Amino acid sequence: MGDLTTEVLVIGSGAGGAVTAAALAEAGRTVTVVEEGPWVDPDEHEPFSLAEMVAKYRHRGAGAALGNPPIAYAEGRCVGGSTEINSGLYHRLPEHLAQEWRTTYGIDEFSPEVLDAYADRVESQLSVARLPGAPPPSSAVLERGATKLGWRNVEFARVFSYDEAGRGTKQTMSRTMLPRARAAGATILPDCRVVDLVTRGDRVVAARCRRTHPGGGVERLTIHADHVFVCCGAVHTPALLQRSGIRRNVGNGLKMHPTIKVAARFPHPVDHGDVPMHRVTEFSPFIAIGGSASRRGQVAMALADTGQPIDEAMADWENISTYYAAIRSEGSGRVVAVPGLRSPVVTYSLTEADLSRLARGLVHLGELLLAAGAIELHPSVTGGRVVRRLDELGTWWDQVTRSRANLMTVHLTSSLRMGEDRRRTGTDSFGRVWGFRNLRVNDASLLPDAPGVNPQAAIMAIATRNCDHFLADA
Amino acid sequence: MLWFEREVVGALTTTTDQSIRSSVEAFVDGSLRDWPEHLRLGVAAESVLLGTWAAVRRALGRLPAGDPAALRQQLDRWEHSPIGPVRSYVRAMKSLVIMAEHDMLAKGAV
Amino acid sequence: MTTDNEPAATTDPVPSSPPAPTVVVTGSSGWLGQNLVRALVGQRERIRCLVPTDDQAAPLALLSPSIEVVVGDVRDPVTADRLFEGVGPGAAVFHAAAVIHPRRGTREFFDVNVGGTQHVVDRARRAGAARLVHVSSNSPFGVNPSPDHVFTEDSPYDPWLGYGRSKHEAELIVRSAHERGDLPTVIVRAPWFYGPHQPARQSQFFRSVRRGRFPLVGDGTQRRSMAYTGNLVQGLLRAEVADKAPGNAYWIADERPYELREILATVRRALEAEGLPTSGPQWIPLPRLAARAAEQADRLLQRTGRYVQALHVLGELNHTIACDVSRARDELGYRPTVSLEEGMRASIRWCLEHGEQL
Repeated sequence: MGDLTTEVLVIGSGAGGAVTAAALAEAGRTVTVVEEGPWVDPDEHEPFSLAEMVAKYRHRGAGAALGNPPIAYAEGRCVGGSTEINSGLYHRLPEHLAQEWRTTYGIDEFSPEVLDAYADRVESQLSVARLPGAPPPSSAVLERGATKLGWRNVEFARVFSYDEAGRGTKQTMSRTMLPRARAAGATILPDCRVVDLVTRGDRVVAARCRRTHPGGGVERLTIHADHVFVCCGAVHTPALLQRSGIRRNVGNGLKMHPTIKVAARFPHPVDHGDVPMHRVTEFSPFIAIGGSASRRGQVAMALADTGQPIDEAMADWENISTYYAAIRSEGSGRVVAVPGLRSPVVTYSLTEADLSRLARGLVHLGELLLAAGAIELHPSVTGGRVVRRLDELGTWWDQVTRSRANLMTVHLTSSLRMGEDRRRTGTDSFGRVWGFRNLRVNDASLLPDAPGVNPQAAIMAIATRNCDHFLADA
Repeated sequence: MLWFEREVVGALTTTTDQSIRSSVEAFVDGSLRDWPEHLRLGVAAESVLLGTWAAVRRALGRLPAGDPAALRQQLDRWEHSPIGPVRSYVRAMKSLVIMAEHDMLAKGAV
Repeated sequence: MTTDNEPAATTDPVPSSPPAPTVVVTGSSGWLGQNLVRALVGQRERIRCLVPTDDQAAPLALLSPSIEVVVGDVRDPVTADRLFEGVGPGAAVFHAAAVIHPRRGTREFFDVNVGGTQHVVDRARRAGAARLVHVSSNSPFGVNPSPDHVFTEDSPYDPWLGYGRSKHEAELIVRSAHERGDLPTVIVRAPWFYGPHQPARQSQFFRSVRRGRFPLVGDGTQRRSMAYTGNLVQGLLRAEVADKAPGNAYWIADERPYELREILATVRRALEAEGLPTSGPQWIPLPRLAARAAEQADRLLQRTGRYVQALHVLGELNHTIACDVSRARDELGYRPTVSLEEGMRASIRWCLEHGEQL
């Protein structure tokens, strides 16, 4: 049974936690980061491979929000969190959302100008760049199809840095912010899961952890800290707080980007290494269209989503790439930590408007892919029609139903929410959990809603802002 | 891993390469252990129910025993079942097997 | 006194452009669409009409050789393509296709009212249309906060249930098309309308009012704006040509809102004037509580994706839904000339001419 004392305890080492650790360590604070997952060498596994899923994903990639329909999701569980497994696509929080959230949730110091300044700072610490050369064929598909239809599309930047040969390396937390934190004196403890927080009145006094040693033994560790930052992501932050008896506006209001997909077959080979960086923004803010990881395993899974045999199509798998339509949903979900269960139960409820929006997104995606030259479209709908011609697309409208749509999400946010409107939020404008003086959240849970773009940029900018506020305060 | 789950994985794995088949089974086994408990329990409960149902059908001669192709066909039918959890069961098992098998086939081909 | 279907000549014209020779109309076989198409016949060279099923094509095509009918589902990309095929740049588009009372549940609201609108806006843009006039509703604005309040063009969105949310999202799509420079658009917000070519449910309305069986909720002083189809069509046609219109939304309705009790009394007078004696009391008084219960039930059902028309209509009868048409007057030169009694008489005559038993 171990005891450790530190000034600032950061729980979780993903986009929020790593930024927090680096900012506070560089400001001279004594920081300890605990991370439930292991340290994994970022170069060890190919991105989106089975081996990577086993090593870096929670539950080996299996997560599901229960509901009608259920929605599959994945989270990272390793040093660096989900930044180690994501596409690296980077997009600042859209201005209209900053305005909307500021008004609706009463968030102080949340103007687009303030957030832009923090985004500038984050971007100076990472490398955010577009591809130096031409986009790969799988991404060019999106540009080509959209251009043909006159639809707005854009190449997103990514947190990638490029060497002289044009080879890119994703700037994950384990490559960027965490080394900075370490260099500034922070300690990082992997394989260390926080079971609960011990509170006394309005203060958190300790975190009770279980630390797994390389040999396999599990050690109990109690960490005493003056300040605690919970950065476990939109599912595990509320789960941890609930386990610690903190429940008000914790875990409700979970938001995702419910996503429906198409596996598109082309008359030519496409690449399978990278996630496309083009996005079709024609239908913003409701629907975003882009591409997904399309290694052989993902292609096979996507083809299987119609419930039809995949062998014939798989013979041609190198010509197949997967694409998606993701929506901002009216509906929302809940995270509930159940006593006795290690994993929280996650639920999500879609409205009829959401189902319609997904159907609409799927149809638009189909139009785009056909315009780009796709010859066969396999939707992620059980019993869904395999479409080869534009006049078959209309059938998808009635096929996207609760019982047949196969949905997933890669983004999870909003399970606490920040802002001065206590009825709606779990923390104040800067992530301080209501009712506590030394407990903060600094991750995706704070975003009042799903942003319609990859949330990493917003999470890091907001986390940096909240750290500044903490440093000015404490 | 429950007996019926092993059967299902066997029926869903298409390759004849024995080492890949074993690896796929090992992957599914490891995954199911790693799953959130409530999801794992749900799948286990269905494995027991559907496995028992299959056993009964075999006893009645309605489902050929020891015939992975027949089980495969039954799974395909269940994938279109009006009962949500039954569909989800098949899809979950299929996703695990397909992802594993095809990732391994890709590695092998390289 | 104007005839039923011709748009009224404006006495104070506002700056406008000539109407487009080619017009595309969605929702052509609907209640509003039928009135609009007939007003366009003889005025335009080509009228491309969208109808959902084959049986609705022939009656429209027979109206005039200038009418070309496209049969299809407005949600279908190919239908949208065919609708605009060979329609060169400079056409005017009137988008009236929508679902108000879905038969299969609230999903239809969003598929048709949002999905269909998106396809039409997209194709109109690609065809280089000169302007798109979008038929919207009071439902994105909910109900008036007090009985003497009227909605204006500055009123905030407050969508009423599924239909309201779907029409709200449709407005956002139409506005965005304009704001992004894709397509000049105008939104026309029409409340409860009445007039020729009405569907079966409206005949049921006349039948029940005639026999004194239509419910009046509370004291009947709730006010409702209504739009005679002739007035509404005039408003749409003004929105097509007025120079100030693009980028704006306009309330189009009869001159003033009417108290519900006035509406029922007027309809009974109109029936009598058209030779249909009325019977029973003016109305059946219904306590507000009953209407509130219907509204609650409507809300709950819609949350589960279900829709029961009677509950929805009854729930709305408890409220004031009234608008001010001043801006349409000022900027479009809109002049509602048909009064409630005249308009109801015209509707009744149309029903009788078409063999409806009232």
